Amino acid sequence: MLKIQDLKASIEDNQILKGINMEVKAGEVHAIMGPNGSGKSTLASVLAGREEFEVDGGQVYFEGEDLLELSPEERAWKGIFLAFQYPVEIPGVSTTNFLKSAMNQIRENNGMKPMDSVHFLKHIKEKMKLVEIDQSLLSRSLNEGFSGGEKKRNEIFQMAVLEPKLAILDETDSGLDIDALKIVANGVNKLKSEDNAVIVVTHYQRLLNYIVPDYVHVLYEGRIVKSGTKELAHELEAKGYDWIKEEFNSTPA
Amino acid sequence: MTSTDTDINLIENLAAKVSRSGFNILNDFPQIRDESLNALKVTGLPGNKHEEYKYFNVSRKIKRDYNFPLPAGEAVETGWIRSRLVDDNKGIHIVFINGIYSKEFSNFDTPAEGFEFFLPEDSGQGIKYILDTYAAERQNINKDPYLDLNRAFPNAGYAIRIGKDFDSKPVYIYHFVNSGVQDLLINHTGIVLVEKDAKADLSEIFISENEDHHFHNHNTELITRNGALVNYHLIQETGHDSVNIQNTNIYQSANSRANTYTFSLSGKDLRNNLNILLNEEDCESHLYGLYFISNNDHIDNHTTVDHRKPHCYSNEYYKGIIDDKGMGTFNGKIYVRPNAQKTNAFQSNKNLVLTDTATVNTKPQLEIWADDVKCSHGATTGQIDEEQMFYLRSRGLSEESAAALLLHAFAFDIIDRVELEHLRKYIGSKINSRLGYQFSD
Ligand SMILES: Nc1ncnc2c1ncn2[C@@H]1O[C@H](COP(=O)(O)OP(=O)(O)OP(=O)(O)O)[C@@H](O)[C@H]1O
Ligand SMILES: [Mg+2]
Repeated sequence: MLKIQDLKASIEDNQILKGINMEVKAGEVHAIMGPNGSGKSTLASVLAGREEFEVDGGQVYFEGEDLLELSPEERAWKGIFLAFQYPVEIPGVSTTNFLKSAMNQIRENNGMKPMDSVHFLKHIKEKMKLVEIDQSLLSRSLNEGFSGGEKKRNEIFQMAVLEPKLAILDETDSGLDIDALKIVANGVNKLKSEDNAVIVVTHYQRLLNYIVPDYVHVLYEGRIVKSGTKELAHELEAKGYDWIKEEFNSTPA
Repeated sequence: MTSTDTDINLIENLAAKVSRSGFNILNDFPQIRDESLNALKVTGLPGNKHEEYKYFNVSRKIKRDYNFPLPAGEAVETGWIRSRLVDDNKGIHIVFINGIYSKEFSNFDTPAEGFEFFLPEDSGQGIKYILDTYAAERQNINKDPYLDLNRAFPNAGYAIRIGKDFDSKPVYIYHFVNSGVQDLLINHTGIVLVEKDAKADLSEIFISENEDHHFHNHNTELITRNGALVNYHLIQETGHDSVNIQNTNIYQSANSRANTYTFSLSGKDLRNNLNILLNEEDCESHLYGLYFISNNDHIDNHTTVDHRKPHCYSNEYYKGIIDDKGMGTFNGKIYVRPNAQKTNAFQSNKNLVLTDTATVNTKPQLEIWADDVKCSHGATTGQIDEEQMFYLRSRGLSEESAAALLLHAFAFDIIDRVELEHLRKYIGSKINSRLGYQFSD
């Protein structure tokens, strides 16, 4: 589904991603861990098409198509969804305000008829239940004055509504209380199928108890320096990153 | 600034015409006319050295052999006018076309309870009372050459009195200019008296379909008596070769509340001088503005809030969207006079520029002579937020629809403050169709 080959990206002449290789197949869950500032959010942003980042090497294919050629909305139309680590506040725009248009633009670009208001309402009611989110939150200005947890829950709600093929969750667990974490994880699991895939970026093994990954990758200084199964997450939880850093720094690049 | 030979020529030309026009709301006040004419002869029209007209120099453009409004009966194309009225059948609609009152399009014939409307040719106690009240209230505060021009050569006008027993129907006053009249000059004066404890929802709507040059120099004088509440809306949607100058003076008495809403949507040269005089205690005033201009259009908002007495509150909030090669100016003066203690005065101006060629000049000017006051001001100019754009696009909104949504939110922050539903929709739908906004709310 997603194939990343030797991806390099920089911002303002600072190279952040220094050659990422990764493959995600339909039905899989991948976890990306790694110390602060290692480039996890950068990778997520580049995949979603943030233009501030300069891609200066490598390729990304999504379902065989060159992803890097596409605008952010075209990627969304193909089925990519990024849940932001720091969702932006938009005064005067509510979630319900734009989500129907977003969904219908995705549908129209996939040869489907737009969903009418009645069906859309039914659809979002279902998803609201799934992630236990309140109507009042959805009609407020987006993220304005939302608590950290409310912002994250709203991101997952939008994911549930849009039903993407590939969801990238950037630290969606941070800021969530234990109950909310379970609700969010449960939501992700319910939406999981053989046809879609999830990349979860997280610092905590705890989330991976609920969303069980097929693969765990460690990102360090712009490279994936170690990959393994969910046991790797346990190991990191117990030992921290020092041993990874040492291992990496002692091997010649 | 002093007047030049061409100024004198213009003035003499106008003087010759005005004596023939016979259309004149200030007929009975020769001293106002003389005073203004003399001032105008001394100052001339402002060039770009004039501090207040630095960004709005139309003096050369308007040195023409102007025509005054032609008397009614002249064939004018009016097919488009009805569709431009606010869809509000409870409202009083008063229509002027090329400066001339149109009985055909106005729906006001018989005086409503607590509502009186007069044209310059009217006489009698009713209009005399309004004009006398105005003459007493009027203060020569703002020495403005265009206001002098207006008062020296008034060639159109109306007077309105709204009493406490008025059932506060919305009053819409339209100023249409249509094609076919070249170099038209309209020096229009509207005098509105809102009596003690009365409530008035007033709108003045300027629309021109005329792509020929015309110069609309309008002056609205609004007197709000004790305890009165006035919402005054100004909507400007004029042609791309027009000069529109709108002077609005609001004289507030104790406990009165005046809210102004200024919407400038198009016009080659638009200038708004809005002067709020908080003449007595416990007045409140909100000044809202939204300018959204494109092409080569130019909007210049000059506002003055003059706190002259203690315990008054004013809040000013103007937003601007400037597209193409448009230019927006905001100059907001707040005066707090020495004895205006316990004043609260706030001001904010926010601008979005959509292109590299769009420009904004914003300047707050606070002059505070009292010590026990709360004042604040702030101004920003920026572009559409990239983070917000990326967020919305990553959810599947096209670039255009994401921008439309963000601009809509920016603009409706002001539009949503309009209390009259019909008017809010009238303005909102114009903005939405320009933005290509197609979201459900
Ligand atoms: N706009 C920017 N300008 C300059 N540097 C940036 C910018 N965005 C990111 N960086 C830098 O890129 C590096 C990687 O940042 P990134 O956000 O990808 O890290 P991360 O792995 O997600 O960290 P965290 O775990 O703290 O979220 C950091 O050093 C950061 O300072
Ligand atoms: Mg991050």
